[in-house]
Amino acid sequence: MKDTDLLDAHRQELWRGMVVLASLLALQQPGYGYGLLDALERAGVPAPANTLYPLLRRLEGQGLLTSEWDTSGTRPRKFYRTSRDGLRLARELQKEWRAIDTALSRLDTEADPETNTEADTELGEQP
Amino acid sequence: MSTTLTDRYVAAAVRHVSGKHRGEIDRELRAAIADDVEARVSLGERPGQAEYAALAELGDPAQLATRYADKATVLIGPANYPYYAKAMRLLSATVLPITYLVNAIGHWVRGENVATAIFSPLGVTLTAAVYLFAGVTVLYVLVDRFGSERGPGEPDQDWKPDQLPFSDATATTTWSEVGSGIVLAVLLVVALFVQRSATLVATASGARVPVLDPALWGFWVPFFVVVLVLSLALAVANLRLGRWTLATAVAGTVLILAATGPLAYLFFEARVLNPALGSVFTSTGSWIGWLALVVLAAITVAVLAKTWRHRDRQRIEVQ
Repeated sequence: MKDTDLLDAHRQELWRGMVVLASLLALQQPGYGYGLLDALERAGVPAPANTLYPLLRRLEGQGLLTSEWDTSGTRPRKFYRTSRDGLRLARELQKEWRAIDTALSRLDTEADPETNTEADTELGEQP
Repeated sequence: MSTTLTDRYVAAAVRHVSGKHRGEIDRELRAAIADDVEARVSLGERPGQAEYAALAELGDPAQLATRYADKATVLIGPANYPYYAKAMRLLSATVLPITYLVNAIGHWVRGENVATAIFSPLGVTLTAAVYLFAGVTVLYVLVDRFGSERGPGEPDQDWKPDQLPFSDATATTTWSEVGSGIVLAVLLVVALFVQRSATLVATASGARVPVLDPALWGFWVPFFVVVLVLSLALAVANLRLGRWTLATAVAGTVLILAATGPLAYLFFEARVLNPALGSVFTSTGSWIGWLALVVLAAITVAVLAKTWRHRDRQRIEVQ
């Protein structure tokens, strides 16, 4: 169906930027690639493995994540952790996210207050 | 040790990654794949199936590699694409018909039949099209990569409304016009020299001779080359100024008259084409002379109208 394709494409576009924020928030507790993927999935953030892994490296390159190899487990795993800069950025992005939500609610003149609160609680549950 | 699917996958993914990061990405990918396989096995999948499914989910390793590399995956970004397309259109619309016509005339002058004259230049034109396409593309890829400080595909941040074209959009000089002009000029000068030795035309007796009258080399060819170079310099100046000034408009007028005036005179006097080609081309006031006169007059009027009308309009808009 064409409509669902279109919806999927736009939804992916919308989520793409959110994955950075979600990763920075989740990695306040050190985590490795697959573990983070799992955590994001359980939290309801769609992040395909083949974009998440390169993204982690890029964030590390930007100094937003630090990393360390842990060789104590059954296999060596690279643990990532949000750096101080990363956390600061995440807080800024969270502010932006709220600003986006407010801006959208203000623009959405059609919606009556009831459905608006419903949407708010739904969003509130997700992270 | 036999190669597993995972080995093949990781090898394919890191092949295009630069050496510095290869080992690290290799380790990281292996760990992630192993984690995924383990999770799938614990849910009851067979190990072989689990590995297959994990790799399938990661998708095409080549695509994964480009994501790791974080490099531009476009040849010509959106900032340069419009100029590229425009230059390509402009050059195709000029170089290819000229190539075809010159070759067709060459065949016709050699006295071959009409079918040969019409069809055999198609091959040369096709070759010219391929070279043109490749050359212009390579040029713009280089411009896109190294042309400015901004990265590939990023738009011009310093754009100001002053750069807007005046309402007579075709009258403003653009980079693609100047670029195409330079390419055309170089091709023309090369053609001038090439036709002296490797000519396509032959006289009725079969001797190969240059298309142009060799006597022109004494004064007129250098003269026209100088006019051509000055015109290009003027076009570049126009590009910098962004508009016609009185000085550049006068210079443009002088240059176009200096180019078309003598050329029309030479054509009419039948001093352009090699007299060895036959009497059609050598008699004063032949149909070729008249045709050249009409074409050159039309070009002159068009260029002058464009220059001065554009300047007028610009004065009105500025006021």
